Amino acid sequence: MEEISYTYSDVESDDYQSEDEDGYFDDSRDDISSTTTSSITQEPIRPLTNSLDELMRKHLMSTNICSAVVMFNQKGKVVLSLGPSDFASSLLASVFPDLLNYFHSDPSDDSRPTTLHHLDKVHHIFSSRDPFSVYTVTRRRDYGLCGVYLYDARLVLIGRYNRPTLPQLAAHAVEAACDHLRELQLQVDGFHSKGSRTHRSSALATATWTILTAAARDEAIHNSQDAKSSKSTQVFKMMRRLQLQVDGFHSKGSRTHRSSALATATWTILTAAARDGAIHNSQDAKSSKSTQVFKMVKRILPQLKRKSSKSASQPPMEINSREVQHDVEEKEDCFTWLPDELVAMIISALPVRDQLALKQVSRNFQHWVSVSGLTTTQLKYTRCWDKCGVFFWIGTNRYRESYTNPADSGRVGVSANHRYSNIVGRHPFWARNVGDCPDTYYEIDLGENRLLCPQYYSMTYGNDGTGWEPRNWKILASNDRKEWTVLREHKDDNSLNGVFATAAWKIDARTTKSNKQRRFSLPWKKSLDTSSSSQGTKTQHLGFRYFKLVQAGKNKSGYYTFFVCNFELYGKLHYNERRDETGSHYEGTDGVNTMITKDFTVSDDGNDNVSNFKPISRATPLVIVPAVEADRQI
Amino acid sequence: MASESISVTTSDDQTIQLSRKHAQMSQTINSMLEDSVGADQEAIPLPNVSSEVLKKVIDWCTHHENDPAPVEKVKKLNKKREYKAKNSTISDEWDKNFVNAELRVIVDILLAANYLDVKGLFELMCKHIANELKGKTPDQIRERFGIQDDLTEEDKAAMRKAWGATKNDS
Repeated sequence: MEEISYTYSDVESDDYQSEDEDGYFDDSRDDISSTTTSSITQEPIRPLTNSLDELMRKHLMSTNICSAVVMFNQKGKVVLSLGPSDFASSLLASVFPDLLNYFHSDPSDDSRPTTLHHLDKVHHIFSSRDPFSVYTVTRRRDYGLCGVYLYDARLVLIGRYNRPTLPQLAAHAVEAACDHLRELQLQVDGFHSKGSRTHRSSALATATWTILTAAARDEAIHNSQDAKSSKSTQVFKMMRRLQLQVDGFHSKGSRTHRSSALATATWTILTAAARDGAIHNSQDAKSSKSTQVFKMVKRILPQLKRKSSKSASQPPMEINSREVQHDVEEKEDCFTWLPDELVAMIISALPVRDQLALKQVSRNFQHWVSVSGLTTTQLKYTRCWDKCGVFFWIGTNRYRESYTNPADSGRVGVSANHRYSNIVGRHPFWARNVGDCPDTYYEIDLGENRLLCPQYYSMTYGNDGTGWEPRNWKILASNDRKEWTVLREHKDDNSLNGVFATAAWKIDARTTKSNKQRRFSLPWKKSLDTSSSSQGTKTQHLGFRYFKLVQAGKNKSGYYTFFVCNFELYGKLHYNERRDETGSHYEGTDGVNTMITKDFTVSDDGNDNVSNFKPISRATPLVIVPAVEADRQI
Repeated sequence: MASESISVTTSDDQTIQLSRKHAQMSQTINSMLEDSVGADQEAIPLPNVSSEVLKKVIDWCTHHENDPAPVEKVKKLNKKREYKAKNSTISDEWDKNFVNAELRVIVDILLAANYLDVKGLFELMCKHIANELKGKTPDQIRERFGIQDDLTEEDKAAMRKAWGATKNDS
C-alpha cells in the first residue's frame, strides 16, 4: 500500500511531458466512464461507494461506453465488482448467461441485449478450478447499427491465494482501493470545478483502473509472501509512464485523445497487472520470466502507436472494440473462443504424446486435455504371471472383457524378423520357427493412443525343453522406431532356468541410458521431445510407444535361438479413454500390424523373404490357454 | 418454388445472398429451408455467424461445390461426429491456402462450420488446428498461439508426480 501511494504522488508531482504526439490515439471510444462499488459490506467503504455510485448514474445516461470489473471467487460469487452496481451484474448476465445462472440473476433480465458479441468465446473460462477470476465487461453503443449495444467481456486475471478467508482478502483489496479512491476523488473535484463532464468521467475512469490494478496487485502480494520487490517496482514504473502519458493528453485538452489514451493505458495496465499477478502466484518465479513480461509490454506500446496513427485517418466507427483488443494483446488466446467440447474433440484425436505436451501448456489446456479423456493408470508389478500387466490390461479391454490375445485382436501390433512374433500371449508357448539368427528381435507397438513409462517387465522362456534359455538380450524402447533407448541390458543373465521359466526385471529409469548415452526419464525442464530432436540436444520421454526385445548374444547352449514368450510390461500407462473406447484407431484394414511390418527391410536372415513379414499374429494359429490354466502352470 | 438464391442475415445485420446449392451444403440451413418451404422470401437469420466469416464459408463452399457428398458409414450415423487423426495431412492445394490464415479467423470459421454443420469445412478446420498442435513442445505451443503459462510450480510438480517422471536428470 505504501508503494501505491508513492506511485501516485510521484505522478502528481512530476511534470513529465508525454513523448507521444497528437494523432497518436484514434477516437474509437468516445468516452469512458465508470465508477466503483463494492458488494462487500464494509462499514467504512459504504458512504464513499454510494456517492460514487450516484455520480456514476448521472453519467451513465450520457455516455456510450460503460465498463465494469467483476471478481469472482471459486464458488462463483461476486466478491468485487467495480462499475455501476446493477450494471455490472446485469451486463455480465447478458454476456455470460451460463455463468450467472450458477448463482443468481434472472436470464430474462431486461438488460439482456439483442445482439451478443462473442458469447461463446468466454463462458467456459469460468470454472470451479480457479480460486478467483476477474472479468471486465464493456458495453459500447454501435452507431452503425443505430443504438445496438455491443458487449464485450474479458477475463483479465485468474489467480490463487492462500488466505484463510475470502471475504477478508477481498475486503482488504477493496479497502486499499478505496484509500486510493479518496485521493482520486480530490482530483475529480478539481475537474468538477472546470465543469467539463468528460473531464470528470475520464478521471473516474483512471480511478477505476488504478483501483483495479491496485486490487489485483494487492491480491498478488498477499499470495506470495516472498515476492521480490523488483518485479513490482518495474510494473509501477511502467504504470507511471502510462499515467504520465494520460496526463500529457489531459493538458492538450482534446477530448477524444484523452479518452482513447485512457483506454489504451487501461488495457496495458490491465495486461501488466494480470501478468504481474500470474508471476506473483508462482512462488519461485524466476526473474527471467518477469523480464520477458516487460519486454512484452514494451513491445506492445510502440505497436499501439503505429496502429493508432494508421487508423486515425479512418472514420472512427469502423474501429470496433475487438480490433483494439487484438492490438493490445498481440496474439489472443483464440482457443478460449471455442466450446470446451470442440477443443477436447480435437485434442482427443492427437497422439497421446501430444496430449501430454498440451497438458503442460496452460491451465485451460490442462482442463481441455482432461476433458478429452487422457488418463494415466499405474500398472504395478506383483509377481510373474499376474494379471496386472499392460498386455493383460489391453487384452481384457481395461478389465472389462474376458481376455483375448491383444495382438490377435489387433489392439497392439507385434512383429519380428522371423516367423513367430506373438510374444504377448499369456501362455507358455513353444516358440517354433525361431531360426538360429544372431539378431533375432521382437517388436511391439502399443499404438499412438498409449504411452508407457516402463517400470518392470517379465518374460518366459519359450520352450518345453531345457538348454536354450536366453542369456544375453536387451530391451529397447522408442517413440519413433529410429532412435532406440536401452532400458536394460542382460549379459549372462541366469534368471531363466528350466521349462517355461519366468522371471521379471526392474527397469530403473535413472540408471538406463540410451544408445547415445541419454537418460530416458524425463528431466522436467525440457519438455517432451519432438521426434526431430537435433543431435546433441537431450531427448526426454514421458514414456514409450514401441518396445523391442533384441538378442545380444548366444543362449545357454551356444546357439542364436531366442525362445521367449509371455512378454509383459508394467508401469505408468497414459492412454486416451475416448479413443480407446471407440477403438477407432484400430479400425479398418490399415491397423498397427500392417503399418509396422510393411516398411521393414529384409534382414540378413537367410531364407526368409519379404512375404514372411506379414502380420504374423493374425496368420499363425494359436492355441489360447485360459488364464487360469496358465496360472496353474507356474 | 425454389428460387435460385437465398438470403441470410448475419450477426452484424447484413443480408447476404447465396445460391441454393451452397446453402444446402450446410445442414443447418438445409433443415431450416425444409421447415419453411412456403415462405422462402424471408431472410434466414444466422445470429452466430458474422458476414466476414460467412463470406469465407461461402468461398469454401464455392470451391467444393462439386465434391461428392461425404460417405458416412451407417453405424456412424448414430454416433457423435468423430474426427480422426489419421490422414491428417491436408491434400488439397486450395484448402492449404484457405487455412493459411490467422488463428482467430480459423477459429471463427470453425465455429461457423460447427454451427452451420458444414461437414467438410468442419473437418478441414479441425485437421488444421490438430496439425498446428501436433509434435510441438509446450513452449512452442505457447509461443505460437500467444498463450500464457498460468500453471504454477505446484501444478507442475503434481503433474510430474502423477506421471512418474523423475526430476533433474539432466
